[in-house]
Amino acid sequence: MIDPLEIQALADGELSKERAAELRAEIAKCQRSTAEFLYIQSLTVTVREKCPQSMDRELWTRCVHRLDEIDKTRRVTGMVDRYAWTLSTAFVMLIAVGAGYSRMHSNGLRPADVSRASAGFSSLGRSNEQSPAVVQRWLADVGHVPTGLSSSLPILGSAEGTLDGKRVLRVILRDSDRNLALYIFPGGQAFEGLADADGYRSGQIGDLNCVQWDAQGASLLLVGDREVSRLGNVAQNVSLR
Amino acid sequence: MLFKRRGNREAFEREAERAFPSVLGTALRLTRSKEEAEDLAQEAIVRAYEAYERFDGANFKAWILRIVTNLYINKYRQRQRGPMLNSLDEENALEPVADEQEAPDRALLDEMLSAQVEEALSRVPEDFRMAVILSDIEGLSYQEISDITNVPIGTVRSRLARGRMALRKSLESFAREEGYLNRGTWDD
Repeated sequence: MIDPLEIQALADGELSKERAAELRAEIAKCQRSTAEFLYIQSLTVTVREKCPQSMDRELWTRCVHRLDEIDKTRRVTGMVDRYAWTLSTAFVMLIAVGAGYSRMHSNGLRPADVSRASAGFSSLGRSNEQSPAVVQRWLADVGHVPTGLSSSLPILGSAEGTLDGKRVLRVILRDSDRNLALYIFPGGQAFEGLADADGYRSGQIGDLNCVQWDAQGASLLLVGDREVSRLGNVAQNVSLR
Repeated sequence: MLFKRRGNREAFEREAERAFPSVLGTALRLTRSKEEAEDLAQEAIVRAYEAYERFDGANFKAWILRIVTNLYINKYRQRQRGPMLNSLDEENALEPVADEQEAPDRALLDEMLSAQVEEALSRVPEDFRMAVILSDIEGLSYQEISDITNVPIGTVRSRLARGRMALRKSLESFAREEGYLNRGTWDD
């Protein structure tokens, strides 16, 4: 008998014309090979006819919806990829413009700015030298007149720094309650976010209250952990002379 | 870019819709489960769409059936029950599909119902079944089946022969059960 794989290849149309013709002639001479060839042909036709393909429209529609979702995702990611630089540049510019506008239209410092900046202030003199004289020297150094600080409270320390390009002095005062911070802005300083209260302007820095007033061409800001009215009482006893 | 993508989508959808009966049919005959076949067919369509730019434009049906079979092998086969091949199955000497002295009975094969043929096919060991499905139902050439299943053409030929032999035995068993055959061969 002829090799069954050859017979199968013939039935499947996998042989060249020449080889197919040769094999057909050989098969015709062999009953068993003929049976094999015809059986493969019959089986193939039967399988093809009895196992038909059919279209499942509902499932196909579901597939199309999934393709739609893929397209949607591609469109979004494509747009983000394409405009990422533009979007981020516009965003940064928006922030910069906002910051510039805020700076240009700002009426002055906010008390919180003072508090934050004062963390970087540097101490004046040694701790055993803390006295009105240190404050006096500093005021003279910045060219402010008068140069004296009048306060009934003892001075625990003093430090200086800059805010908005101006030199600022912080003096730590002590009374029977707790420490108080007095900021002196020679030449005056505008503040925003403060409300008028009994001859002072008051506001808050975190949990602390503050009062602000002007005296002798300077602005003073007194910060302490107590009510505004009591801060006002302390402020009445603090002035430049 | 957008037009190109839209054009790709339209071209893909056109070809995929035409090939979808083959995709689903193959998935169904491989998994032997309607639910798994539907999942497999959908996933194959999605994968094919994602990879469509890499399609060489030659034979879309063969290309997408390769995706179906690869997905099936990687994802579904481990869960499948039923006869699996071992190396001995592939190495055994081949015998003719038809019995000696037997005249093929086309009329008898015609008697078989579609459901019986499908059932007989589902009993054929998996790798042999895959070869029969791709050749006899999908009409693919040995070369295309070789590309899809990643085996040499010689292996495709022997798997196909074994698959047909197994199918014949399975059909014979049905024929006997249904009373088309009284004894062990077609022409009894």
